Amino acid sequence: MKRIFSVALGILTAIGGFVDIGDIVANAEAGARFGIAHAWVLLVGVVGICVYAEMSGRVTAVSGRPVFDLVRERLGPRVALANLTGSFLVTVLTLGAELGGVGLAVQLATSVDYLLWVPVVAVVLWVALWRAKFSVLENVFGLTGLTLIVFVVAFFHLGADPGQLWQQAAHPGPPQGEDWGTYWFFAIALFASALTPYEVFFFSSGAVEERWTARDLATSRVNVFVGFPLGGLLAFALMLTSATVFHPLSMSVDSLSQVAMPAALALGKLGLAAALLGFFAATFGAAMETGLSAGYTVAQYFGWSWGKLRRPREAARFHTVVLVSIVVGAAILLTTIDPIQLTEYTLIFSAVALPLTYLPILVVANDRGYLGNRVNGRTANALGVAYLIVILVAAVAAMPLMMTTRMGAG
Amino acid sequence: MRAGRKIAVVAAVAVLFWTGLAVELSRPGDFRAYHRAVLQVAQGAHDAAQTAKLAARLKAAHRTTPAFTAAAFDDAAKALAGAQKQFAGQAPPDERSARLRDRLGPLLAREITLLGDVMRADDDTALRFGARALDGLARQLDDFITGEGRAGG
Repeated sequence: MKRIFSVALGILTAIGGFVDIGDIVANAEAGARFGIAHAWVLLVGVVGICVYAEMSGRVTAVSGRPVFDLVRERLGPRVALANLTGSFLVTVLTLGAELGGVGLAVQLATSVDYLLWVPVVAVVLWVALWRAKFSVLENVFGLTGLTLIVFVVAFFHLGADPGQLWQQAAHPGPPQGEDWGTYWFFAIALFASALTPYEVFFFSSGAVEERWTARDLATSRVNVFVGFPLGGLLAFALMLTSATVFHPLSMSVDSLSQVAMPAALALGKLGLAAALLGFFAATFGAAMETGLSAGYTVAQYFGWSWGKLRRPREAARFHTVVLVSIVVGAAILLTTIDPIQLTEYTLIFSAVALPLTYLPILVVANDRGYLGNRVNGRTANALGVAYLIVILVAAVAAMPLMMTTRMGAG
Repeated sequence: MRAGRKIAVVAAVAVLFWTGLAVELSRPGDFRAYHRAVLQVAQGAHDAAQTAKLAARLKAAHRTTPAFTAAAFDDAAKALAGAQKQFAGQAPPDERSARLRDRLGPLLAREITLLGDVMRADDDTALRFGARALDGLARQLDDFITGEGRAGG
């Protein structure tokens, strides 16, 4: 019974923890501009994160060590440094975007400007990461993030035209007034939002924090193959509601208040409250994950003591990196850059850095020295290589598309 | 390749890139660039009008909280201010561009008034009236964008 409860809790937190500010922004923007013509991208992205998260979970459960630790050992410090640099920079930018998302969510609930909330949120985040237990943080925010289900309910209340939505999904491409460059720009942003690098580092290091062993492989796979796709459904609901409300009005979405509107239109104040709570939990949970991931990657590269299992005094350098990352993330926002714009930039830089994260994971997952007979099978390798090709194409195309479409402005 | 040569190649590429960027950015505007900027301004103003309209409707139907409505109106106002700033920062390079400016300018001016009125409105009738007016304006902006988009630069 305890085992079933633990697995169920794992699935629920995986669902609630899947969505972050990148998913919220990318899905709502794509839904407003293109209807659900990008639905296939979300599907491709979710399958991709499942493939690589399964690999990282397996590597950690079998070897007892996090992926980043093995990457350095297996591929050497130079390759691992490239991986560290790309992933760390993107993770700190993502942390800034998440902090901004929390600030915006609180602003929508209080009408106090988000910039005033940013330092408060940063301090609360640091205290939470310093004091609270790993499992408590993961479960509280993962479960609270489930309130984003309100967008699924809202979609059914909004009375969308299923025929029109099917038409958009079945005929991918830009609608009238949009061009292919912008369509692909948003496709890459959506793809990157599903495969953000910190997700695999957090998943793998979290497995060490929870002391997973080879016996937990089944739990890991259930979390990944059930929890992540259901989390992807929440992201899809954001795209659907945005496509239902904003696309017919030919308008684009560039603020969090707009993203919440479909919930209010469909379900009133209660729906709005659930949406705001969901935004808060999703972004704060992701801020916690990115903050920890920043510490994990640096500490694992340099071989420092790390993790929430140890007292802060025993992992002082790890906690220092976490603290500095939070300060840098907050400082980025205090330049007054719009958090939504920061998220858009983060997604594109993330797309560029994706190969640096995923190639080493594929290499390590094929190493019998670490995994014995639990190395990748044919299917995992075929999918892994196929995704690596897609990731490479996205990485190469991201910057040129960003410039030619002026960040998707068209 | 020796380290010195590598650095020289990287520096040359960086200088070329920077020069290209400088040339591109300092090129005097033509009708095409102005047309594109005006369409962006119109789209920004259109989005602001639609956002404010939806927020007004939600407020009139008592389906939102005062804090959320204030934030939504604020977002619409910021979007409109951004569009206006972009509009004011571009001088029309020729007569054709000036005609374009003269068509969009009054719409933007009207939106400022409507948005201000709807943000101040505190009874349901005024909110509904404001939402209808913003809806009409959004349609006009949409027609402008569609018409000019089809005409091209």
